[in-house]
Amino acid sequence: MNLLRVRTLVTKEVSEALRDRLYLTLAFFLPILLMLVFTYGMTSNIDNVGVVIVDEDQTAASREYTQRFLSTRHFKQVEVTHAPTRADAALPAYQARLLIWVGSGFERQLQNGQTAKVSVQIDGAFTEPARTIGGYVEAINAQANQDLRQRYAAAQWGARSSLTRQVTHPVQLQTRYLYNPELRSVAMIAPALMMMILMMCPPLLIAVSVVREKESGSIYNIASSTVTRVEFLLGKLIPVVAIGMVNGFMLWALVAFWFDVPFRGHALSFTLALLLYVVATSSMGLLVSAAVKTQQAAIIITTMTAVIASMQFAGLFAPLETADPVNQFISHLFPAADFLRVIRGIYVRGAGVEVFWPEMLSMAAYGAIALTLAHTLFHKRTAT
Amino acid sequence: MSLRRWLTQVSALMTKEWKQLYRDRALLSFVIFIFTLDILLASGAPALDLKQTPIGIIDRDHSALSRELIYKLPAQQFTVVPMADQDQAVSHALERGELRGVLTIPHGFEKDLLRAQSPALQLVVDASDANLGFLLSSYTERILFTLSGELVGGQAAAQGRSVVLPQIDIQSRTRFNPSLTESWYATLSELLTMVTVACILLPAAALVREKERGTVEQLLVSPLSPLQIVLAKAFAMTSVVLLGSLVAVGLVMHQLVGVPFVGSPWVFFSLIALYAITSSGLGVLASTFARNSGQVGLIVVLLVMPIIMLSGTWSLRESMPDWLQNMVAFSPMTYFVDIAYGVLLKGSDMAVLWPKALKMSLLGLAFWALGVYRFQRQFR
Repeated sequence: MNLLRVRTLVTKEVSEALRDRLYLTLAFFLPILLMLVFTYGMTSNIDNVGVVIVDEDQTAASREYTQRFLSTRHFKQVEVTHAPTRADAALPAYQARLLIWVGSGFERQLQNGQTAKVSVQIDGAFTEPARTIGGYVEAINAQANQDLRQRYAAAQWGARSSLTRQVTHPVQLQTRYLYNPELRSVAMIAPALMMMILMMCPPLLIAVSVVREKESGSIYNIASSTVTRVEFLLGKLIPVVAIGMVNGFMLWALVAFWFDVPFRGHALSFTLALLLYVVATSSMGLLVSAAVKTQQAAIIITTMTAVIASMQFAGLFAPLETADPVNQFISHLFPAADFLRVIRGIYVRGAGVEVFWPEMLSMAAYGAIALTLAHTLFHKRTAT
Repeated sequence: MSLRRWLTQVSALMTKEWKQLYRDRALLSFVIFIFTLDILLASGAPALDLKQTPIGIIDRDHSALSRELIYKLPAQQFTVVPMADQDQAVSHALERGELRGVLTIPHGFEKDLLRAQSPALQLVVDASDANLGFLLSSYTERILFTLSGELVGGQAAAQGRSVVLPQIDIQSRTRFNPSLTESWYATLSELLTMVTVACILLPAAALVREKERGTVEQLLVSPLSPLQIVLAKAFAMTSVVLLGSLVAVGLVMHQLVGVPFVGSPWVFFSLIALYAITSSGLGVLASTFARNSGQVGLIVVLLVMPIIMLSGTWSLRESMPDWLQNMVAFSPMTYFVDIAYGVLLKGSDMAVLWPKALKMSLLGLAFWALGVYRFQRQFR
């Protein structure tokens, strides 16, 4: 390997990129734009969800109960054209995602110490919001029950009696939220999106730049030159890894300063993880470029692989432990799951290399394997 | 020029596109993959739920009641990992994400519980995953209150006292997906994503490639109008997508995964065709802004990623800030998400869906008009 030739190739790549303004702009703006749009769109708060309330009881107790739902930011009452009139009536499908039905006799039953039933319907078409909505409903109802028992027990046995304390507060639970005390979803999403964006952008850049040479025929210049395959691949890899690193630091700045997610880790651990990941993903881009003939195929395969690998198989939305064995196996085909664990660990929890060295090693292995495979598959002369 | 001749020309050009796709084996295998195996894989997607979530327990009491409490923690939600009372091991496990939370039962738990002294348990939650953290803490709180209430109740009943309290009991019913089967949601969401990507990217890339190689000049000197060229490209790819979704919905989703098909297949497939044409208009428009395939790739990614992420399958539209809601109103997928879930799971018909279908078609018309105008202008 001749380092001088590698340097020449890198210079060629850089000046090519510099002359293609749109390409250059997108190479640096695409990651930032993706980060902004995704974070705003996916902070996965469940707010302003339309709810239809049918209150047949129309008493102080029923109004107090339904008001508990409406006073949170999660739910918003909607007026519907045809209010349901029976307890088994349907949820109006496109106007609300939740229906709460308080039947008559609600207040009377509670005053007599009986169980009052409330029926609830949740739109389950989107499963994750449906689960969260169900969770909110349960939590609000639990609080209502707690207040209700407190009042009832105090009226029956006196507010300070030991029986009252026992039935209303059998235990206390002191909860402490580590790493993200305000439970902001942005702290969960924004650092994790680095995984996805860096899975997409560097491979896209590298695959397109290699396949473009194949398609335009300029690769024959390489074929007839003394440049070896390793040198050619390194000449492509180095500029893209450099761009990927710059992207990584830009994203880091965006997450830390724009979205205000405190960086708890060590800069060196972060840089090392970033480097290993960008090398691994760029090498996968090289692998794709060795396998395909057209830029069209290169673009669609790199972007789709990135979307599939990072959204479905990395554990972005739900922990990987709950996935089925096949999906867990597939997640091991990409470095995304490793980097996600590492980035959440380093960025949000402030852990270091000493905790995440197995993942770091594994990312290095992905890079090495992908590069070796790309080297094996790549030919200077494309088959005609 | 007669309509028949016009159509013959378009179909001849469409045949050329099909052949080109057929010969590009890498692209062809990928198209086959996204409509079959990929949808199947999406059916095993993990769900955000407490499912054997690993939680560490430090029992400082070692009493009969503390052991009973631990024993009664539901095994479906929690995997209980007994931890020794050592800070270092606990914090290492939390940092690595091997434990999602740690519950500490205090010394004197049993004594305090029976004397109505409200013993204080401590729960430390890893909140780096905010949603799971919230689920964990709120569920643990409820289950602890219930369990310790039962423990106290058991003791009280043994002493011959029984306590009846009023209670509000929620009877919850989930509509359209009664047991919240993740695969019903996930496979359809995956299909919509793939249809969107394919419909925008395939025509855009096909158009730019001809432009880049100069073969579009040959097409333009042939007796074909620019409109015919664009239509042939877009319709060829649309037909591939339509065939793909037929296989994906009919075979993979309905037969293999068991997703119900409540509504009418005719409504579903005519609307998916409408959506495919609408989206390919966006692809045509995108192609007019790029000179080479590298550029078109980046432009399409720039366009497609926000569309698939913000159109309602990943996040609820009503929860977004207003400015974002106004922006996603220009995404045809926004309307199609409602349509697809509506027909497939809710059994909606055109009487309910026509406003969404209309808005989608208007967007499609605008994309096509602008796209064809810009395409023609490039060659004057």
